[in-house]
Amino acid sequence: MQYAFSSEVGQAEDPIAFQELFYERGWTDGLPVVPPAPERVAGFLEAAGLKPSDVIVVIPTRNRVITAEKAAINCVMAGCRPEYLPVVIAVLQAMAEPAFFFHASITSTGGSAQFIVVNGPIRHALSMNSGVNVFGPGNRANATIGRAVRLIIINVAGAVPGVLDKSTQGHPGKYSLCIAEDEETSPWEPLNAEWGLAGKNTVTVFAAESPHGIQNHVSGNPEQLLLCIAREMASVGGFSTGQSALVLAPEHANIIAKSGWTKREVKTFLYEHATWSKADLKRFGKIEGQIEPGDELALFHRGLTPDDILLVVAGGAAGGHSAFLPSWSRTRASHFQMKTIGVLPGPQPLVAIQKHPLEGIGTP
Amino acid sequence: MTITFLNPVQEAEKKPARLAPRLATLDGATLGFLSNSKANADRLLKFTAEELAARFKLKAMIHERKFSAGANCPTETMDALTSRVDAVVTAIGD
Repeated sequence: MQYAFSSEVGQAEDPIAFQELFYERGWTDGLPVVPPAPERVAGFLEAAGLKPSDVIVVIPTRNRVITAEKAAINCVMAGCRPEYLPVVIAVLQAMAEPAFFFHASITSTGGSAQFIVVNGPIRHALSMNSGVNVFGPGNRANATIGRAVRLIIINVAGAVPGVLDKSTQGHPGKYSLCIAEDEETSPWEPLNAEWGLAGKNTVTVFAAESPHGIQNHVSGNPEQLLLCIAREMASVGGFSTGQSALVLAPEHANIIAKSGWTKREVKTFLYEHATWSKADLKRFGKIEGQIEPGDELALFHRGLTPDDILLVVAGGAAGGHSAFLPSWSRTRASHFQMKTIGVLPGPQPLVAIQKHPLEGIGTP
Repeated sequence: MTITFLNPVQEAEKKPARLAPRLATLDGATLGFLSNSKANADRLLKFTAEELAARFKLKAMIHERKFSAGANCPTETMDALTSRVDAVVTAIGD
């Protein structure tokens, strides 16, 4: 199919010159990219049934429009296969929801990455990794879907590192932080079912700090294990009332579930135990002021409700290694969002995951 | 082997804007102060308000906050503020 692209067409004399040109212009994440040849970009759009001019999302804070053409170009550059484009588009649609705060989350000194969880049959269709080394290298879809989102953030949303992206440190997840949930191994309902989209292909997106490892190979007791996890969720450096994500290894999930714990009970227990007193937060300088009467008994939880914890099961079958990902924000400046994949183009209706649309949001 | 490529960059849409007319003096003026809601923006605006109040005979000062530093100031907030003031001082703090 012939497409009329609006993007400028350029040429480089050979593959090395092409890589140098793209790097010098600041169009990459520092790694080599696949040349976005017009015919390759056209193939991506054709596979997704999109026109180049289709508007995927608008970012009002920056007066930026993300079109299907630019999304496809950056997907090609990231090394995606054409069938990944609808996943990337769903991620962008999720990020465009007001409570995600697209602009703040890609520019703040907090340096977040877009933690992407894919649910539904598409995980298998795309051969995504939900198992061994789930956060690590080796899987094309996991690696390039997240990378494509990063390249779009740089090239289309304008969050060029050091220019508009003012991350104090950032973290390695900013190259890609995309996993699939291991729905088959999980003892509980997966994310999409939890939010009323059972069996649907979905992405859940959360602006996340770097993963904190939780290793526990000793306890076979659910309460002990959950207390250990809750203590990590209350690690004082990353502590805030913001939302968070917990990726339980299958081994940990099964120790907890075999004693009859439901997903809701797990989240409630973690919410109740991942806390600090106001007095302690003042001692650590996390909040201002002198310790006053009542501060020792005033509790701050990780989040405002158990539903502020995104609980996912993924990882290799062997090993007691789970991960906790806090919100990047010092308060509640971004809320996770879920979207179904393949509803194109334009905004989709919100799903139940947006339970607390704008309440309690402070500053990043 | 020549490589042909499409430019991956999307520039921002540019909207024309112009500066508001300057006030000849702040004496007798009602000043608005718009915070981006960060703690140090409030502090900066507080000091600025104190300094301006010491230098000029201001009629009144009205303080407003953006809902979040990460989003545009809602049009309603800006309209409500600009309808009551002669000038607005805003600050970005962190």
